[in-house]
Amino acid sequence: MLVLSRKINETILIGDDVKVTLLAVEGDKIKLGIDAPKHIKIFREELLSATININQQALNAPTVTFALSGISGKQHVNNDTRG
Amino acid sequence: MEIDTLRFGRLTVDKKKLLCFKNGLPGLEDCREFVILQFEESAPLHWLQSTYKPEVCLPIINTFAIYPQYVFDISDEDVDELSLSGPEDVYVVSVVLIPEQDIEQMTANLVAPIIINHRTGSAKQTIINNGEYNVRFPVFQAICNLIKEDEANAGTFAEDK
Repeated sequence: MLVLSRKINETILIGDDVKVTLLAVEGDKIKLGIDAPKHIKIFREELLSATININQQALNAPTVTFALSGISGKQHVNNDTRG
Repeated sequence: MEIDTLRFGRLTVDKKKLLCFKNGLPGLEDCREFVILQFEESAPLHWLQSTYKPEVCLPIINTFAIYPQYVFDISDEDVDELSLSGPEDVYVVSVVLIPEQDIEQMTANLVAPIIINHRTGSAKQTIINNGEYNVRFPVFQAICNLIKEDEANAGTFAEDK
């Protein structure tokens, strides 16, 4: 991993068209400004890991049925597919 | 065609209704072909079933039905990848997490909508960059309201119980 030190308002370039600028430092938080072409996806990494986790856990959902008499969930036994 | 499912047994599905996820789903990358199973008893929840792995079946719900004010931008890349020609092509669903112990605590992942082009069957789960949405948005109450509305519309809801 490449490690670089930057001061506020200094920028790094990634490839030809991605610019990352350090905008502010407040305690243990830093604010980054990112300029990149629209086709480059930018999102917080933890949202992808949370989604992976939810998709895998969702497989174990009980088979829920809704009826006038009430809502019930039949337990569903699943194999672990993460192998 | 016939598919095997762990949850619902062997089913016949219409080939025209198959959904193609070019890269699978996050965490389920090896499953690229799915079909949406709809059953009256579990509506408005539906099931996103893999045609390749019988055990891969996720509860999903129409995102706009449970959260009408849901708004997000579909990136140009996703528009191209899914060959979307207009809003009328788009159907959006969210994966629902249902805890076995307490199904009333069910939540939908509003951060990662599944975008479906229902004209072509191409689909993908994408992550949106909108700080206001939660990966675990409670949906039980919204689902109960939808069911009540449905029953009222169908005229089968017994008011004087």
